[in-house]
Amino acid sequence: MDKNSQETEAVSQVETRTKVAWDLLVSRWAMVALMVIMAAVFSAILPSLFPTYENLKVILTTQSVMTILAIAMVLPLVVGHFDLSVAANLGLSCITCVTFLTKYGGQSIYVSCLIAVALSTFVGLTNGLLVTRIKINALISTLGMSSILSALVMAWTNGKTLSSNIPESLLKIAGTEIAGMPLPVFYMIIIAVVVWFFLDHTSIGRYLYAIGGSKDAARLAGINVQKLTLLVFVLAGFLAGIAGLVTASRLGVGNPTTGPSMLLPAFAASMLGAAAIRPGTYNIAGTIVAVFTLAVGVTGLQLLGAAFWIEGLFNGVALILAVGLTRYLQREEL
Amino acid sequence: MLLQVDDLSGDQVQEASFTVHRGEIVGVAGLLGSGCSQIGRLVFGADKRRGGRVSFKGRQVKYKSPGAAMKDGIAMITEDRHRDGSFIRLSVGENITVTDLGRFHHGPKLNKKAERREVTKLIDQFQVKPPDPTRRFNTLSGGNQQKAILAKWMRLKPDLLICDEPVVGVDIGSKTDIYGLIEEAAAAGSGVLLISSEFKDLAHLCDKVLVMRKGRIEAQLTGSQLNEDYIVKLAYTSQE
Repeated sequence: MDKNSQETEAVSQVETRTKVAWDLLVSRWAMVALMVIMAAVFSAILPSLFPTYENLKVILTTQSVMTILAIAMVLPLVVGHFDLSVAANLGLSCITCVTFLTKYGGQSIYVSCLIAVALSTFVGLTNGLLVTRIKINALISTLGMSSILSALVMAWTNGKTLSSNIPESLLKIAGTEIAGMPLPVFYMIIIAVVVWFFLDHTSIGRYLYAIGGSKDAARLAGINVQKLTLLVFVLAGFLAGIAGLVTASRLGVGNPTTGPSMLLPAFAASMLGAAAIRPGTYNIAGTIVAVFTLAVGVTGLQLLGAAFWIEGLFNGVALILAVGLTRYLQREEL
Repeated sequence: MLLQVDDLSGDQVQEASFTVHRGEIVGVAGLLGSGCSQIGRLVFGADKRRGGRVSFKGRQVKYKSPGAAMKDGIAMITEDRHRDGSFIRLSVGENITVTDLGRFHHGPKLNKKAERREVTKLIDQFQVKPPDPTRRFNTLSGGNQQKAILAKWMRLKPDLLICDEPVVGVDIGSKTDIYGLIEEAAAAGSGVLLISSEFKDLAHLCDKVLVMRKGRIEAQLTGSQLNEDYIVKLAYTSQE
């Protein structure tokens, strides 16, 4: 090889490396940019409605429950399983908490919350056992579980909304504000930080990503695949239970139809989360970005006077786009 | 005696008996479907045992999972590194350290700096190229993938190293490196079970070669019997 062609090769190698670095940067931050651009456009069109402190507060508060739910879905996704029962499980927790507060002699807020979260965690455990012991595909078993939970909630409440004797203590959970921000925002931040730490800075988190990469390779590297798979379903159930308490407090009633409608947006966000911050990988920061990108889009369009069905359309498109994008990113050498 | 196997059976292996001493390289030769791969998997607790006894370091063992075998000092490089030997989308570093992350923490937090230090050392020691721990595993060449896999197991300082087809899909240079590293492990006192269809290499490297055919050990060759032609003959045709 003569000197000239060596130089050309060196230059092209540097160019390739620069291009790869640039591509990575773009795929990391593209969704954040999209969110900022959408927010800027809506602010320009609706200067008195969109860029207000009130609107920011509404988006942050409504989406904090959605974020917690999306994070609950991310955990099983990391090991390669879907959990489609988290939204119905949220509904179960919601109705359990309100029922114990208002009926059965009016239990204290602590007892009611504890029972609600314990029940949701137990549902998660059941999901995990169905997947790891009986080896039912998670998509199927959690979809079945979701339907069962909704039916049980209907049976329990007889389809009626519980709205009498709601104690003040329930409303405080989500209603209290610190530094002008309602508590759910802080719950979201705490949960996001804890789960992010768990996934990115502990051995178990690393093992979970390894299982998601290859279950066989993980087992042959000494990882207890069954136990950790069970763990993520239990954690998903627990987080759905927490999200249910916050929802109960925000609504101030026990509505038996609460929950299932939150499945699609949470699912879309958790899938879309793999297309941001750590492209090609289910990750917490990306999930949060995805939740708020969807929220900004939907809220802006609604403020613009879009039809009531816009949310479903937007989330559905986002879900399909998310999966396509993630496939593409995983194929790339990033 | 490091490993003593008596009448070990699985769904592809019948009544296999052999021993491995410390510092010894024992070859297992056989064609595809001869059951030689399963011998390693049975010892490692990766496949279900149908019968027989295994004694390791003087103790009867029956591992329920590879994790249990690893705790006892056994490592296994699997036959198909893409399917079950590596995590192609994780980084080279993450692939290497996955066998033991416990050493990187006090408390819940993984010490990524300490992890990085060990990976850098191992990449250098096992000559993985390019020496970049953050690269995605599947961007390495076959030979370098295999060297990284060797690093991932040798960092555990195993008493018994099982290597299943360690040089398949590997370039000549890396092949020499990999055999060198395996010999080094034996010289350092580990026992090695080397499963391979490269009969010439087995004849050259091993102290003893078990020839398998239709799930059974046909012969155990040592000394002057240990040559490629004889292994081929036994692997293809049953002994008269």
